[in-house]
Amino acid sequence: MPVLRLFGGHPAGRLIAATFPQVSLYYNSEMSSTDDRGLALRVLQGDRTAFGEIVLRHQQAVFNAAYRVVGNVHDAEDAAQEAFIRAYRFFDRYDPERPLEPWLKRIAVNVCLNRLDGRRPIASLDNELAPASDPGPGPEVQAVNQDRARRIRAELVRLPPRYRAVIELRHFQDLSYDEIARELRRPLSDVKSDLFRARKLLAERLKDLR
Amino acid sequence: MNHLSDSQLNEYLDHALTAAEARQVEAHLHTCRDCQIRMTDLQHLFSRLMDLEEVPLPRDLAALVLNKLPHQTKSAWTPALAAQLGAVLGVLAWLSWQIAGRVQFPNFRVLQIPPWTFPAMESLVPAVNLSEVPVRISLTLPQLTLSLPNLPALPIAASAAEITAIGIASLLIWLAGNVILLRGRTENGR
Repeated sequence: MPVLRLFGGHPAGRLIAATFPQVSLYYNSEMSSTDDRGLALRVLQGDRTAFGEIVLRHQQAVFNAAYRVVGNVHDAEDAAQEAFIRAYRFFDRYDPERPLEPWLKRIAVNVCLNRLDGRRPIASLDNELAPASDPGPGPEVQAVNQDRARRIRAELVRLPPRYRAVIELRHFQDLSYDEIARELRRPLSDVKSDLFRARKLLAERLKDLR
Repeated sequence: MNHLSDSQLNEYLDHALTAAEARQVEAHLHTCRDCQIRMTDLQHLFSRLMDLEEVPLPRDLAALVLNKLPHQTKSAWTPALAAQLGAVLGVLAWLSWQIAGRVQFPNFRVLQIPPWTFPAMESLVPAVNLSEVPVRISLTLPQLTLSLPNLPALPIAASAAEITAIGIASLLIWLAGNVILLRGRTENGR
């Protein structure tokens, strides 16, 4: 498989490349969605290598969507893989005229929900991974930011899975109430109720966070 | 004074209220300290979630995903499979129609079992003379007679060449379909 370097000259990309040289394959936001459209059309014609490029471009975003819902790296990797495989199997349902990454992330959330269904909530997270972008000035600020991020993720994971899903879809994927209801195949009233309760719980639990 | 509901606060921040409803919420917030605090807490939560940075993916998933991909997407194989099945079913339907037009189906006879009556006790247990040793007992079971229905006779001899040709055609269509379906695997070295 050809190695693609997709960072361009972005400092965040250089930081990632320096920190994780083995994973120098991230989606660069400068890339246009027209590239996705071309790749999608190739996949629809049976080109598997085009799908490989799609995975390279969007694996970071899909992994993070899964990570926010399942709360640990191992499960998030598995869920991201399953999401891509499911996307490939049902690629004929994807409309190449629409953005690809949101579609992939929505699949990832559904995969996570299926996996979490019936499983007990995860009590603790992995040690927080370093943020993917430049955290800003100085190691102290960086440490504070990482503590804060770890705490927020921990509280997210303490929520029931269906609460996590609506938080993910509303706050990180910017779906409307109606879109979330359609995606999760749940009544609109349930979606709103879950979202509002999840926010209330999170706000109460994070109140002491500076 | 009635405070704003959680639903109003949330829907205001989600821009899910109508313009008139949003104005009502804003008017209330100007006069109600409690609701201002609740709104601020909610806004802080929004900011915290928005500021949550992405974490790096520890390893490349592309190779792993490609190794696990099914051989073809559904859109690619469904028409081929449908065409293959359609062709074979078509041939079979034509064959059935041909045969149905020539075969005289016989009247099947229902499996006949003769009426069975419990034999008289005397026939089952013959008279025993207890004074004789050893005692002999003989049992006679009733006999059932079964008759099989007559099987239909196919006019194979009359159209053997046709049926052979149809069979070969079905086989060739099936093989051609398999070649189409398996091409994707061959291309991927599997």
